[in-house]
Amino acid sequence: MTARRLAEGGRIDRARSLPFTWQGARLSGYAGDTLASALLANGVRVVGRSFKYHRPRGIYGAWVEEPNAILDVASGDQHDPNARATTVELCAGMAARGVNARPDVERDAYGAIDLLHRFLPAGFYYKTFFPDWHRYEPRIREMAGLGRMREIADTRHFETRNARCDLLVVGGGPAGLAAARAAASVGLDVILADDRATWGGSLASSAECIDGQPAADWAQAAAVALAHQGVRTMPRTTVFGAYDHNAFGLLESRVAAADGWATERLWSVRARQVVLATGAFERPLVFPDNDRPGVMSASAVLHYLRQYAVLAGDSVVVATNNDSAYEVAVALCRAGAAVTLADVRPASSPVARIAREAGVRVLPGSVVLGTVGRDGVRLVDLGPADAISPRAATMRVSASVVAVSGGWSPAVHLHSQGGGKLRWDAGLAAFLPTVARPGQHPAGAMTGADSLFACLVSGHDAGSAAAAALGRSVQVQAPHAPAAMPQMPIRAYWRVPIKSARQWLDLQNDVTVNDVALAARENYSSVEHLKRYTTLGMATDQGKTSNVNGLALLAELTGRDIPQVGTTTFRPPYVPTTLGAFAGMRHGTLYAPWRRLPAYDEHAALGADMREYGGWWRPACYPRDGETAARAIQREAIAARRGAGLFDGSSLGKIVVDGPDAPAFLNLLYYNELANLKPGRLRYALLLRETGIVYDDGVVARLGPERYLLSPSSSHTSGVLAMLEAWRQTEYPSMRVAFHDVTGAWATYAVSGPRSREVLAGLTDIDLGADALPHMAFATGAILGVACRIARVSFTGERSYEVSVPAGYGAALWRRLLTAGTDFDITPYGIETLSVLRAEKGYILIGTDTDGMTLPDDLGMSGPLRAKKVDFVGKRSLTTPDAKRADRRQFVGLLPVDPGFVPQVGTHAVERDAGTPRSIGWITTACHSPALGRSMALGMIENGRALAEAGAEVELFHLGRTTRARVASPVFHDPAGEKLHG
Amino acid sequence: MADLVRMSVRDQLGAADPAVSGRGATVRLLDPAAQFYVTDSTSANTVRGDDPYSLWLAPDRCLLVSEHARPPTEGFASDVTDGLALFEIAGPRAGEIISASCTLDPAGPDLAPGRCAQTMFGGVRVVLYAHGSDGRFRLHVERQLAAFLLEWLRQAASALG
Repeated sequence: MTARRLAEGGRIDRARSLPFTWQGARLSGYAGDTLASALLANGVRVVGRSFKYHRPRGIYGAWVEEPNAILDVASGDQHDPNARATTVELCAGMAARGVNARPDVERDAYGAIDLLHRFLPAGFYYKTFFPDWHRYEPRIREMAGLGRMREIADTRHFETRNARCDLLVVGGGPAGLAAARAAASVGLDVILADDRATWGGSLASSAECIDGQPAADWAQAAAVALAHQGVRTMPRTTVFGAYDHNAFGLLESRVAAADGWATERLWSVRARQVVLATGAFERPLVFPDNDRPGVMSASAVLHYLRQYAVLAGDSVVVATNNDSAYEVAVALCRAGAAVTLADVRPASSPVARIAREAGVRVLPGSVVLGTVGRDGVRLVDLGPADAISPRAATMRVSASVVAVSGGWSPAVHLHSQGGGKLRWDAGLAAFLPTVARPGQHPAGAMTGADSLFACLVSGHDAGSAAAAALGRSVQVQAPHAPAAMPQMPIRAYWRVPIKSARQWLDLQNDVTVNDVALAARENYSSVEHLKRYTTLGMATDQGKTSNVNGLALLAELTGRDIPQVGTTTFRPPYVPTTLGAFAGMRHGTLYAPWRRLPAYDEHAALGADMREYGGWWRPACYPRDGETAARAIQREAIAARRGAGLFDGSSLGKIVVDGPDAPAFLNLLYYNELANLKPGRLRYALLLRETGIVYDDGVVARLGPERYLLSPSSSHTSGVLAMLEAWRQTEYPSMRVAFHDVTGAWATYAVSGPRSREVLAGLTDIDLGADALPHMAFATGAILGVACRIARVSFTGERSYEVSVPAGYGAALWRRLLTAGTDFDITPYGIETLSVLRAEKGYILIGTDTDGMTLPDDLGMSGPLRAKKVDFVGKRSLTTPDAKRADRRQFVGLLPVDPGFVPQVGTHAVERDAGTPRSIGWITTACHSPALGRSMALGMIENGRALAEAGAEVELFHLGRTTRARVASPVFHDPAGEKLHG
Repeated sequence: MADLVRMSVRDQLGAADPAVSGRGATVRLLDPAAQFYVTDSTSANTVRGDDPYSLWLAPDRCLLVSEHARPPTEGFASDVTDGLALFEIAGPRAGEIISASCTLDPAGPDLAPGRCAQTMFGGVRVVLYAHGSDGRFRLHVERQLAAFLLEWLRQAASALG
């Protein structure tokens, strides 16, 4: 008989039946079920196939430790390809399927792999497929795996939150509730988090009483009372990571989400004090064929019985090495099951008498020597615990479930993640925390407390200690539970000493006792190496049920003590955590901060091709109906050269520098001389790093004797401001100078081209004549009644006026400039067009034509180094042997021999030495030039200036294709600057 | 008389007033009479004055905010009235919006009355402070980032549920 739902009992809502499907079959459960309890209640045995051997697997546990029941679960528009069925709350309409099996988990074609298991030991892949792993990997990955992603967008909302508190209590079981209760009694600001939907942890399957109430009822009442006292109670919230200074990561799941709600919230909590009441995991008892469906954790069997009224089987073998499983046996008997209990301990525990009275057949000194059954346990062989052969079996029992308990492993994960050390307690056969981390207070089963009474006291004491650390004294008494009866100690028992049998340690990753033995024989004596070699504990359950058994076995096989072997490192996250929750709202339109121009809507209305440039959304070009971007760029470039163009340069940085020492300070920072710049004038200047590398370029305006305006590149504005502040605050604090980044306060439009003056003439009171406003000068005045600054500066090579007005007028001014320019055929042009215009003129674009190795002389700007008298940032680095190397790459123009061929940016120029090519540089910019009517390029080429002077040709090499180009001066358009100055 | 029409940030973004409302928090985009970067000796991370009031930003740099009139300035002052967007977050759940957007504690010392903090908020740099005595917060952000931040606040408010 398989598992079934009992007619009464459990904490489920029998009035609310929930239909769901399993592998397409219609089943139903109740509100309050998990997917796992509902599957069990419907008699489902095989829920998955193992990772490596594709053996059938059933539900083993009841919570996050579950290694087998990893399912593909779809519910509404939500889909999880790797849901742990034991933690999924059942919803109406849920559709669950097995994974890692074809066509399904019951008839898996890959199941035949198990027949070859002798040839697939630990390290099989390393030994067999090295060194050509990459050839085999795709096929192997396809065979061994988990669920498959659906290639559709995840529609769920996620959110991130930050919180602080006096005390974070991790775990809402008896110890956690007692701790929160103590801390709340003195008015502390407490967050109480538990990963389950209901409070109480292990109390859900307890038959004991607290303060005279049934334990599970007490837990719900205690949580309600705590919430009334102001405790922030967070059910369904997993504390998945412990970080420095008591910062913790929490993942909160929310059900019945309202419109716009995040289904999961990731909390970063900074707590002054922490109580870790994380409980303990029951370990499996290891014996031959212990992976068959029906072999379950004893505590899980009890949990399914008491929480969900699901009887795992009508005939059950309980196999244990400690007292805790006796309660399970008794409860199963009372629910009507026939129960045989095999205890590896030879003497009878005091609890054995109670079990016998309840009708349990107790077999001291016994263990399971094997199980029989194709898709699940049908028969169980029992025999002496020290048997060395399966033939030692003395009894064959008919049973569908083997409930196993190999002892308890405290959930020390958070303690260890935070750097806490562990010690092995031989009496409890468990790793326990040693000294707690600062501000942390371990409590309950996590510290080895093995009775409800002990857990409540331990939790209360931890809460009181946390309060004391914050200067509060707790007066209330701990919740009371009857004292536990004396227990017989656990007997450490790591496997049945039968060599030929297959005994599983790690159910999810298919690691057996023999794999660990092989690794030990091959001298993988470090537990970390054992983990990597055998994959023990590397699955998505991170070895919650397998790690301690595995390392204890390694100790036994290598003749060492368990503390000598130690544990692997505990790292966050404690359970698989949704990546979307880390992103929170930062996806879609909020993926990254984007900056919007004042005339954004105007550009959009013109049909601009908007693209992201250094965080700004800017028009790349303005294609007309049916026009490609490439054609639009050519059209716009011609218009700007022949008539008038309009460009939105509002994103260009604007930093005002002011103070009596402003001239001297900027002279220290900039490569070019700026102290002698006259008010009203502009100068192009480079900013270097200490290494001499060109960091930024831009035009500097002198607004007054003590005031300048810098124009860093659009994406360098905050970097330049930080650089100014760093030098002022750390190197030159005595200099009287201050900086204001006013980039956003201005809208700036460049009117460029031969007819630019005519466009603006009627709009402003500023004299735009060549004498009044020559190239590299600016004037202030009004445009259309608004205060403005007009700078005569050009990045196109044509006469240009940059008009700046307060940003609020930006949209209106853009529209008016377009209207005013209609008679002059004004054409808006985008940044891609500008890049062509500036390339024709040989103007560099920082970060495009320069890189992390470019010095000013490489760009042909050596004047300031020779002429400037004062020191400046980067000067020393310009005099090093490397800076003066004769064969440095230099900025030049390149004309492909084929005028119709536009080379790829990044194409190398090569020279050949006996046929072997060697790179002498590369192309940084390339385009079809409308001004030249042919292709052109800019690049950095070794000795480029000499090659240009000689008119030499170089060989270009790109993706196996060879072409040639003539090296030339980078200034192709208007080399004399007549158009610029006209 | 200017021929050109000035658009406030709210006008430019086509936002209503309040720009976001419901679910216990409202977000307004204000259009103060003046915002100036000035040189001031206010001590670090504090707010000084009432109207106008001044927010410390950096050594020798403060933001002077005036809601109703353009204040007189002397020395080095830069008009950034059009350069910064001023958001006000109000309502009983305003603090939750703060917690969802930055790491500062809305009830902690960094955001106590009289204090201001420069912080990453929704991924962008802002200056943030409590304003008034009824749990309102204000923040200034560069105008070009206002559209992004408004969308962030819309989503954060709708996630309050």
